[in-house]
Formats: sequence, structure tokens, C-alpha cells
Amino acid sequence: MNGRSETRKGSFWRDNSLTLVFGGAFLLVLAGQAVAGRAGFNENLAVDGMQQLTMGEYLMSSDFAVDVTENWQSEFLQFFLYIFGTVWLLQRGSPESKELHKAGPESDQEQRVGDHARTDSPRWAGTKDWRQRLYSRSLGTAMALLFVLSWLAQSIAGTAAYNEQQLRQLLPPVSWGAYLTSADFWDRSLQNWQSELLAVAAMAILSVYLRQRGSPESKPVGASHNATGVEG
Amino acid sequence: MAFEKALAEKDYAQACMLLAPRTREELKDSEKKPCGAALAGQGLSPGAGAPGRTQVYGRQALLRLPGDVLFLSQFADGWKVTAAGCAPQTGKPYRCTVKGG
Repeated sequence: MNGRSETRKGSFWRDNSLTLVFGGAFLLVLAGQAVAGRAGFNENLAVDGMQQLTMGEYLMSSDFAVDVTENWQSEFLQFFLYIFGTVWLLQRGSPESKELHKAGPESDQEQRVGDHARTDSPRWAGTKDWRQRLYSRSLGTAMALLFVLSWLAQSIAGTAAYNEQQLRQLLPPVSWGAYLTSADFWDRSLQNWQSELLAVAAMAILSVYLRQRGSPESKPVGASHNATGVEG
Repeated sequence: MAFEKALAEKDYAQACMLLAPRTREELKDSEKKPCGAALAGQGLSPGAGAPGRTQVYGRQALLRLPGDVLFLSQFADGWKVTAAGCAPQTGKPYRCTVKGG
């Protein structure tokens, strides 16, 4: 990023197209997941001779909830780890890394906090108390909180979905605590975590050598492979 | 519970109406008899008294009665018995006198 404050105002749609397009795509894909998920769930119910679920019933089911939240928690975990990890961890040549001499939380001057805040800085950046400390970590904290809430939701929905399956197989239900130590809970969690960590590692190293013209996630096409912390 | 009441009254036709479709079919197929006659021969003893701990997850439920354990599933026309006369087995599914396939 160039660090300049953007004052130009375009249309609302253009100025927010990144959030709007990805937010809209999220809703479409979630709807697609609901259609496919219901079909698969109903196939299993048919095999067991059970009543099929309507779309409304499936959307309220623990099966849908656990499938959704297990992916949400891993995405928020990925961003939480990435945001906090890149404070200290570096990758020479990667635009995803800060410059090699800047590892750590950096100085107040570099971060424009306290006395170094500017007129257009967020209000809490200019304070010198807990508000500055909280705001200085608010992005990572928000991701961490969303991760914890999503993972908690996964565990609760997962317990219900697992127990529904248990009862269909004439097995006794398990408690939430027992589910937390179950293979199902950790299989769902770890299979998502490994893919997120692979994606981060791949992005960090591939962006050293490969380019995407015009993307802020890439270095400029002509930038050196050794240039670190440079975004296009 | 209506199923237990029907068993206690030896109204096996009524009890059959309260079985889940797959369980009813399995009972008829395995005994080669109409459902009511097949159910009468299972030696099910009706649970008596107030239900103990009932656990419900989604459309499935486990009902513990004094003298019987039932598995139920919710259908369009209400809750139906998927398995009856069940006893727990360590590390295995409940062993049930009447159950679906």
C-alpha cells in the first residue's frame, strides 16, 4: 500500500467493490452449500428410512451449522495467525512480509500513535492509555474473537449433529465435553487448519518469485525477487 | 407414552402404527407375519412410570423409561419408534428387540 490517505470519492459501488463482490459471492456460495448439503443429508436420511428435511429445516439443522462454522473458524484463525504472526515473522522477498529490519511492533513514530498521531488518524490512535493499546491490536483481536466464537459454535453444533448421527445408529449421545475430545471434532478442525496454513505458506513463498500485475497482494512485476515488504 | 400404553393394553395394531416405517417393515419381513402379530411375539415389556432422561438431537431422540429404552425419530405425522426393547452394550450400539434394518 502507498500509505496515502484516499480522499477521492467515486461511486459507492466502485469504492466498496472488494467488500461487496466478496460479500455477495459469499452469500451465493453459502446458498449453494445449503442446496448441496441438504441433498447429501437427505440421501443419508433416505438410506436410514428417516423423514427428509425441507430446505428451511436443513438451514436450521445442526448438520448445516457445523459444516458452515467449521470453515468459518479456520478462516478467522488463518487471518488471526497471519495478522499477529507477521508482526514478528518475515519472509525475504515477499510482499506479505514487512521489511526485514522492522520485525516487532515498531515505534510509536512509525505507527503514528500517541504524540505522533496525525489529524486524520483514528481518535483512539492519538490517546496514550488502554484505548491506544486496544486499538493497536483491534484487527487481530477481532479475528481472534471471531475465531473463538466460530469454533465454539462449531463445537456446539457439532455435538448436536454428532449425537443425531449417534441416535440414528442406536448409539448413546455424548456430552459437549466428550465431543471436544472426539475424533469427529478434531478431524473437522484439523482438516480445515492444515489447508489454511498451506495457503498462507504458499502465498508467502510464491509471492517472492511470481507476480500479479496490479494486485496489492503482489510486488510490482518488475520488482526484484529480493525486494521485501513492497506491494504493487 | 402412546407406544408403551398400546403395549400395556396389548393393542399391537395401535403400537405398530407408532413404529417408524422402516422398523415396521423390518419386523414384518423378519417374522413373516403382519406387524401386529409379529410385535406380539417379541416379548416386549411396556415401560411403566414417568420417563427418565430424554435426549433429543434434531429429529432423533432417546427415551429412557423404567423397564424400557426407546429410540424415536420425528416424521411428518409425529414421533415414531425406530427401536424398542433396547439395552446398552459397552462400546457398541444398543441391542434392541425391535429395530429398523
